[in-house]
Amino acid sequence: MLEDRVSKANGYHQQYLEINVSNGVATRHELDTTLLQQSIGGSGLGTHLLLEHESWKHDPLAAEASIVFAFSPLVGSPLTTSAKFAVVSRSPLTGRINDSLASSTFAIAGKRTGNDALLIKGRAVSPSILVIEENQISLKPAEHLWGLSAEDAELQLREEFGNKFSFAVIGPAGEQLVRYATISHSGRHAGRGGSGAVLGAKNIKAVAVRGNQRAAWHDTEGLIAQARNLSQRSFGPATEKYRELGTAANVLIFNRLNCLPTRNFQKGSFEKAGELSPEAMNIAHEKIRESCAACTIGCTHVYSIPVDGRPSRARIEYENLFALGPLCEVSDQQTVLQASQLCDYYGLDTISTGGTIAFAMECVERGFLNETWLTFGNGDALLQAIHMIGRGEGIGVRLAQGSRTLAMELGNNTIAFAPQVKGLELPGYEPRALQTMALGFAVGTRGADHNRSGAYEVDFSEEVDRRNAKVHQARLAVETEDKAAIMDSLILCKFLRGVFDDYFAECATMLNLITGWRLESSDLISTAKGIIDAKKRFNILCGWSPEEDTLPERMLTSALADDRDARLNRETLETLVTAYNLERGWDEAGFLPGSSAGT
Amino acid sequence: MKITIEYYGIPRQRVGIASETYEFDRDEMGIHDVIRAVASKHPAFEKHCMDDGIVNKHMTVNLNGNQFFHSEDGIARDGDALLILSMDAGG
Ligand code: SF4
Repeated sequence: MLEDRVSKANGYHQQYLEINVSNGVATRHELDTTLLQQSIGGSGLGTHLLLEHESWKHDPLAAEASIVFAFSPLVGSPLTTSAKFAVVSRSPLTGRINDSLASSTFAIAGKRTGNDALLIKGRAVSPSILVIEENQISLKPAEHLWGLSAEDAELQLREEFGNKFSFAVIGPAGEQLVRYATISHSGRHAGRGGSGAVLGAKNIKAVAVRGNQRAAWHDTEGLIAQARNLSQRSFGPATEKYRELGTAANVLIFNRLNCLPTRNFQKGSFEKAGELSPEAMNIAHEKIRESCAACTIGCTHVYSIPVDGRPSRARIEYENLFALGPLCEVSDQQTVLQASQLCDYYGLDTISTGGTIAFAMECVERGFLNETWLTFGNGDALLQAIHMIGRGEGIGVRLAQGSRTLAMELGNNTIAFAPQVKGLELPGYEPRALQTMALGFAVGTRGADHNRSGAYEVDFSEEVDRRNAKVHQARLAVETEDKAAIMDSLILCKFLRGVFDDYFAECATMLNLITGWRLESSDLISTAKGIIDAKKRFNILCGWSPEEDTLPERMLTSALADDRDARLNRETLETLVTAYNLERGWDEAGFLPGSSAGT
Repeated sequence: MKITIEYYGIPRQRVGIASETYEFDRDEMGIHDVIRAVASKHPAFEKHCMDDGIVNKHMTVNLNGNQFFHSEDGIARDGDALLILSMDAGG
């Protein structure tokens, strides 16, 4: 049992817990105010802790590797969408930094253990549940949960531990060390980059948290007034799209603009996209809307589907839909819904699952992979491939490594059309048709990523020609990354961003009300840059090289088949990347001042 | 001249149709004026998608799948398609 201590800073407990699951030893570490001001929480804090623990030195699936659950100063406050946490580790898919975010009561309960972060190292001798109940840390056997889906395991954990605990759980994919396995909690998922495999490699099926420690707020009255105002605005037009149609609202307009990646990024439109639109799904299926904990928006649209004659439900978001639909050329609603449900069942990142399967389908078509059943447009093959990945059977074992590793194994320059950057499969934004986003993908510290770079917003504005990138777009891409770095460290949901008139000023106000600091917009912009520098530093220490900041060769050598104006060449992308690096204050190649390869 | 208006996302929800064609007795006109014509035909669109006579900051307009015009200061010509969509592309 650890000693009680008094919380010092508003908004924080000013400490984190390091737990070695090899021997069950927990160590408490202090966090000083300067560090908290520089990293805030969430992604920022998690990155700092990984650097401090020299996590770049270890294979992400090694016992010595660290994985951090980082909370934030806003967690537990009345601010809408603030019940979020970040899971930060070195990614087993990319070998680079990975920070996946999710919302649930796990964030609130985790922070109430009296810690701003939980850092887990080591490897339990057998499948275990890590239980953190304020000062008491224990490992309990989890053999009876091994093999269960995260949802089923969580139901059982609730029965065993009661409702006062919250749980972060891996599914069978995490147990099988699928390199894009997720961590789930109350039906939400820390999705990208394989944090589920990192936990699985530690033999940890679930982390259970409970506590009563509350961090104080500097100005409770002001905070409540701010929270009311924010909630009010969250009901307005800025979030209408998410409430009425969900993120899948993108399908039809992306299709119209040839930005909807189809057939493993060979095309930007899918003739049957209409069948997968939320407008069509809403007619064919019963639907309910759900929210994360402490959210007034509720963007999650859950459809009823019959599976094997029994009623069932499937959560649909744009990314699931694009990756398991058009990318594999599957248009059947039921199949795509079922594929999405299966990914949740096994605990698989839907984007990497769809991206890797679509890549394999193209390899089969070109004769590089001898799995003749795995063809574009074949919904049954899609479902079978997901089962095989989740169960670790047959070709599923190779697909579980992601498209980059599969391409390296297959040779024949298949890497040219593997849809990944740094090993992370591309999300549903065709880079040739959205070229600021192309830059965002190329330079992203965790690989091709639409959450750490919102550069697509620039492409959808009158400021640029989306298919003809110019150097000034590098600055605009940097601005969207800076905003995301703050949002991911505070943490607030990105779907709120449209409600802010003066983004950094409002974020500073919220943070000041909680902490009593006197930050201004400019301070937060500096903090954002510091957080992105820290992620880059981590990558450099992992062995990052400038050649990684690019796109798959095919995207730089051929135009989109259905939009010949959507073309991007290597020289243009390199010019953009250089401009981005200089805008960040790095050298032309992308090294931080004072750093160089291997330092 | 004929202009096709295509609605996506929230604008489609408000107007209730996917697309429609407008005929104007001119060779070209400002996108701003085309949007006015849409608003006068669809009060629900005007109420939910416009502020002070222009599309609100949560909507945007695209000409022929090419350039976006949030401030609506482009020119539409015969045969053009004007796409009206929810601004926030993220998902
Ligand atoms: S808007 Fe959606 S993703 Fe964001 S917190 Fe609410 S339900 Fe969760």
